[in-house]
Amino acid sequence: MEQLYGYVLYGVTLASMGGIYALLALGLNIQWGFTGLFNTGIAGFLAVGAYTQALLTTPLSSRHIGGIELPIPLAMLCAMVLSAIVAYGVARACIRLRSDYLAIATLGIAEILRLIFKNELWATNGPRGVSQIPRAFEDLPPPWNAIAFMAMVLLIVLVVYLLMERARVSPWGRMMAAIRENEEAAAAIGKHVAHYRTESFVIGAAMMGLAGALLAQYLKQIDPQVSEPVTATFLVWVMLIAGGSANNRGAILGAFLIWTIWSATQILTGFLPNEFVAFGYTVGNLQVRSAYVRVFLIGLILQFILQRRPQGLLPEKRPAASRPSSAHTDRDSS
Amino acid sequence: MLTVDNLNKHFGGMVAVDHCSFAVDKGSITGLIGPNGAGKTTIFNIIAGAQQADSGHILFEDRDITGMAPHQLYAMGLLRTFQIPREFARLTVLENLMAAAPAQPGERIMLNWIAPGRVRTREAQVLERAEDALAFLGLSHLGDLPAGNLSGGQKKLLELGRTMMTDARLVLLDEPGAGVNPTLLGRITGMITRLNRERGYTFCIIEHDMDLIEAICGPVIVLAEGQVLSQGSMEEIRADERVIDAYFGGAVQ
Amino acid sequence: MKKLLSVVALGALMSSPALSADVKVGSVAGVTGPIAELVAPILAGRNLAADHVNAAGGLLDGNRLVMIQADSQCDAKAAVDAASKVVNVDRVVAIVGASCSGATSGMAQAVTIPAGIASVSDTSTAPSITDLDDNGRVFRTVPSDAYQGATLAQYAYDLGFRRLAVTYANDDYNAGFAAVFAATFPELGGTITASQAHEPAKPSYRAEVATLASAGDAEALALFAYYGGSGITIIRNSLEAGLFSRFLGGDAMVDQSVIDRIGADTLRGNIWLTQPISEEDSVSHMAFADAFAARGNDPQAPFAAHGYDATFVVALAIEKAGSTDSAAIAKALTQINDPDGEIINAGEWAKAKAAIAAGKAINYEGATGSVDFDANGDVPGSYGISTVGGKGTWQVAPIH
Repeated sequence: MEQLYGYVLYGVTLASMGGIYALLALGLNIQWGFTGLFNTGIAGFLAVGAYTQALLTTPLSSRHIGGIELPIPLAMLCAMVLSAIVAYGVARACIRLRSDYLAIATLGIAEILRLIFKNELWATNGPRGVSQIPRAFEDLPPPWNAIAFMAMVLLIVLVVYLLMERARVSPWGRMMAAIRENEEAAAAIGKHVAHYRTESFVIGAAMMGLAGALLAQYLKQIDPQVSEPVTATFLVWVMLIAGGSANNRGAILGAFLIWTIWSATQILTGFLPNEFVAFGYTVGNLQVRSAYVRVFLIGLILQFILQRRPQGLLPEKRPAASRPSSAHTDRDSS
Repeated sequence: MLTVDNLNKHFGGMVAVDHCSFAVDKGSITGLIGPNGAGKTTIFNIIAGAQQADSGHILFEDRDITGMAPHQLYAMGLLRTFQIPREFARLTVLENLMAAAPAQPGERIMLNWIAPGRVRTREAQVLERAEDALAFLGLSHLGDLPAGNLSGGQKKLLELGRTMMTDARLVLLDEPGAGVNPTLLGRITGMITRLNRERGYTFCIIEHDMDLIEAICGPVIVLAEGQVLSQGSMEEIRADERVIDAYFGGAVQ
Repeated sequence: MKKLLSVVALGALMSSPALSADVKVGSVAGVTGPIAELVAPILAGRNLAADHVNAAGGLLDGNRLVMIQADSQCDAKAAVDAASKVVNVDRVVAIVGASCSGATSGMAQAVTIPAGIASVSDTSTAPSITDLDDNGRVFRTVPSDAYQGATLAQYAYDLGFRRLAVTYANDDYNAGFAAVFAATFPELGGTITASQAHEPAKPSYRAEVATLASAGDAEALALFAYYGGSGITIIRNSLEAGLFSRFLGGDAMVDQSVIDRIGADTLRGNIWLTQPISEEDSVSHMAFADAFAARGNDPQAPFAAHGYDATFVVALAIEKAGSTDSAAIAKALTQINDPDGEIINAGEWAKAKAAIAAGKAINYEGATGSVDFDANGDVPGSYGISTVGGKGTWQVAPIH
């Protein structure tokens, strides 16, 4: 019974983190899945959101700026807005670039942001980061504080999903897909391509900023390592590609699935003996080695999905919206 | 309706368009012909806002439209198609058409959330118009197919169909007949003349197929080396020695 | 969902070999990630302590101490995830770890403090950990950088250095260490001619070294870096360009490969590295070093002895608490260093067990020093200076 309770609590942390990743994947889905914007700087927008949340809500500290102690929801809003503003600046500079150049530009910008957070010691405490970040509902008695936080994350994911699903099946989503498929042709049918690419980039980045704000609360501690590209950019791409690009449910499924695999594999590798003898050879340090197997495993999953299901587990749905049945029958009968 | 005035365009040292001037009359189907490298597609690209001219002006219904972006020209009723069809491959045929409709409130993301009724009303109109266009094109049975799965000729039809989603005034067609089988070609030319007659579209067509030009084009403009070499009816063109030298060569004999 | 369930079921199935008599302690470390190369000896140190416990009677009623390893990757995200797993799924009673201060801080604030579980870090040296609102749950056997930075500054001044250039790898450990050093040295009367951060793992640091040298006639370079990340390269670049020939630094530089790759003769008399240690000749340190070396490990590997002590004090606290209740264990961690208690050295588990069973107070003298936790769960630490000895290996001498 106690064991089961433990699994439930672990499930709560799994779902909290999975939900944060789901937001990142939904944000990337808008940019890449809907509009075809190759953003490799997810980590940068995540970090902007996380640092905004951290610096606006923490009590006064001699180690970093802040001390405003803004209410948590207000800080989350600020995190979204600031991330969107940064994205707008980036977009102004390079949204017209072709996808591969945009990838390089965003990668560079994320790295610049990381170095700023790392080196501006007066503001961010540099590599030592910001700690004691308030988390929503943390004053509730355990385990309800963790459960309430998870519920908030999942609720935010649900709301974002519903908004984005509405957007996907709308003329807006159709136009974004047209821009993704062929920019010049989209311009030729009257779409202001640069404007809408910017819009998509900014909305996606705002969501990544929100994910960052949640991550900062969840960890209660952030440092430049949160924007380390393997877990903050690469993993999100794996989630979206595995789940299904341009499919909101795919993005969410991919996020929870890949995060669960990433996290739960450790339960399995934890049971390995530290040494084992095979064919007369002693293989030592197995527990150290097995940690690397997880990274390998994620790469393997990505390979497998790319080979077998290039569209992801839940492929893009076309037509995005089924035809309104009334219009359909009208035409048939006429 | 459209006046091209003293247009110039260089690519490095190469002169693509050389002080070129011509006009397209309202209600006409004007043919634009010339040997390869005459600068036809470059002129199209400049008119349509895809490329910038070095100098010169373009007037559309007495407004200077030089350097305007494609989406602005679209709003004014000046549309173009591409030589190689540029369909939105993963969107369905119907979605390809619907995307081309103007004035869609649903293209503003906010309105989808705060005014879904307005979006739905307009969407119903767009759907109806798209289904009409599909029927006109004879592609109704393919409406839900991804556009990338269409044949080359069907994609050409789709490009033409996109111009029907708005009240186009001038449509620039870049080789509507290229790579299309004869049966389909007949249908395409039929549609162009119908759109011209029934909806009052003015067309400017780049084409290499002289039969198509002869069948539907009113005035024909011949370009060579970035300049207008000759213009007039097809008979006059055929009679023009310079054209025969520059373009037809021995082929007409 | 089905997949998740089967993973969970598999996990449950595989956990059955661990008998209910086992007492599980989490062993959280940055197995992968930027400090991976430091972690293997640290884990070996932790495991040695667990083996000492199990070989001499085990915990409580002969229960086996089982270390449950999890990877914190030197990253708060991973550390929180790893800690959640060992706390909730494996139901550990305490945690040794994590590595890297950011990871430890995140793990403690997000998981172990709310869960009421004590954690003892063997590697996290950030001063900020001292003031976590931890309800007496966060401990460490490694002293805060605030101490080591000040110690190195004093030592450098005492050696006669007055003008020093400073460069540090821009990670939490080295940056914090360097910051305290750079603040303390001028207070003593010295001058910092230049201070510059560098990114680790670059192929060359010629430009950085040249910039540092051009800023004034520094007598030596104070180098805060992991030896494998950038330390060796910076020393080599400095020597090649003839810009710096003498170096000061910390424990992250202490590794035989530094001597092997630069040359013992070049470095002899020219490099001084502080290292948190116990008295070299203390019984406790020797006991640890002998046992550790007997397993083919290097007793001077950074933080390995701290890993041993962190694990050993957790075991002592469990024994002292007389139960696996995590609150009792956290409380007991402050009761194993009674100045009037019976001295327990590293490896003396049987003696400790007997003393506790007899109701006597104990005083653990660890492999790294006294391990006297203060009210914040910190240890004051004692330091040695590593220099290159006659045999071309590191020699540690205590600083008095």
